[in-house]
Amino acid sequence: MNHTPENWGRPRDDIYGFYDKSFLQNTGGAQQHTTRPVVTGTSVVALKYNGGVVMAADNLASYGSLARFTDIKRIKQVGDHTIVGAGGDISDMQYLFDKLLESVLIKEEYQNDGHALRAPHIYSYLARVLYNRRCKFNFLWNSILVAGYDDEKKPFLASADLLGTRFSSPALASGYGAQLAIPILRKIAPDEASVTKITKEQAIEAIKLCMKVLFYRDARSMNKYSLAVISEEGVDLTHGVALENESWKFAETVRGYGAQTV
Amino acid sequence: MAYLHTANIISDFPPSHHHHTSAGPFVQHQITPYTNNGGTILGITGEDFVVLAGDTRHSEGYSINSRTEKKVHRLGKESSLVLATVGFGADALDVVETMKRAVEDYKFHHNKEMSPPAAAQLLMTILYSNRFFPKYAYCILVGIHAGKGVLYSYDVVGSYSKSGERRAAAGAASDLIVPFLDNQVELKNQYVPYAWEEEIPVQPLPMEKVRRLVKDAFTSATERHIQVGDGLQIITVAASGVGWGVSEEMYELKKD
Repeated sequence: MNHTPENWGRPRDDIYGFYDKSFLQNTGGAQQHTTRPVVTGTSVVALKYNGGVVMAADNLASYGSLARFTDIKRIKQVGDHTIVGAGGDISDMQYLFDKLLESVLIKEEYQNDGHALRAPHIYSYLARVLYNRRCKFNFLWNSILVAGYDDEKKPFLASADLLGTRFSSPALASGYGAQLAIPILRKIAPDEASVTKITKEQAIEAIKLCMKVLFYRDARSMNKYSLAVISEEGVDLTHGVALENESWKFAETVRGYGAQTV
Repeated sequence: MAYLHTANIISDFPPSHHHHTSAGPFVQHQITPYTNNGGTILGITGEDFVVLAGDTRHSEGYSINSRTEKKVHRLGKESSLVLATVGFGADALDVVETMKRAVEDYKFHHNKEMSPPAAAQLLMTILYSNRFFPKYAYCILVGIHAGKGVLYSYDVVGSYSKSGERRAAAGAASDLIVPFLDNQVELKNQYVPYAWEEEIPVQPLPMEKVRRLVKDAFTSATERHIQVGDGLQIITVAASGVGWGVSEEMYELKKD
């Protein structure tokens, strides 16, 4: 009796010989899944304000520690009032953005029923795709933020990652942003009630500050980013925004590691 | 989420540096399809009602993802069924969605609401059908059956008691809450004062007392467990005549 369930119902090696894997292309003999991200994007940060959402992600795609591509758009507009920002593997992001979301939009457009997909619909679709792929042990190596308006026309912001984990909050950030940007953003948006007191200008300012802090501390970031502002008028998505008031003056006061001798 | 960069989703503690050395092309990175999103759920039955509660903190490692993610879900607008889940957030939500759809389907097919014992059996079937790739979701299912509050609790592969339970707790701080419930709901180690070893008899608790126990359990768990806090969602399902009423109360917990 063979007590290993995966061998049940399969030809026995001692009678039929070992399975001939030579026709398979890869040497492992089995289908290979992504085991790690290769070209990666770093944090995405976003904050709700009274009447909309602001989101930012830099334009860098890293290959390990090499800054490989410096003009990558990691925020995509989906329909009239929704944006999606992605961190993690860039090729998986491009598959989500250019293959999946594009075909979803075209399919929805062809219906011509006056119904438009809103942020929660896009979000639950993407979160389901990510969860489905993790269940097949074939991860889409991303962490995504979706922003826009819900069915009650209220600002919507939510997160999903490669495991299919879903959550929502007035301020969200992935990657290093979760460590460095969230404390800054939660100071002005500790809860949903405080969101009504934040103006569009304040939200943009806070997000810009986060991008600066992230550039100072995250070694896989750059000083050029995409900034998206969602308001009643629609989505204002600008790529290649330069970091403002960059100053490394603080660096000389940093002690404890690096090249200093004292 | 450092694993987006280094692929070490699984615990890298104590820190090892083998990911960064060039050990050849055949190094297999260990990845896991699970994570722990913390939080705790708690349910207590009374005579003709049942209370189901859960904190609203959603965390991963030392990060708080959200302070407002609800863990207790009604399974239908007209149904008395309420399901709470903790563990791995994505699996937990998937179990809830599967149950919601099944409860809706049942109504379309039979033109009546699914009974709590039927839902209980169904939940076991769903969880056990994933026996060899389990949904990492600890569940507590409650509802009103024949005018009484009923409660079922499950492990991740669907083990449950058909006859239901008086109370249950699951999740991060269940270790802290269960002994408290033993003492306050099952009245373990409680004796009649001045009577020689005469135990206080167990009897159904009134609704106000149950809600107070729930709040006390969670405020105490919040003090001692880092994954518990922020907010408390308390859903009460009470039998009334031939039907039932469902109400929700939100209660603040400490956010530190």
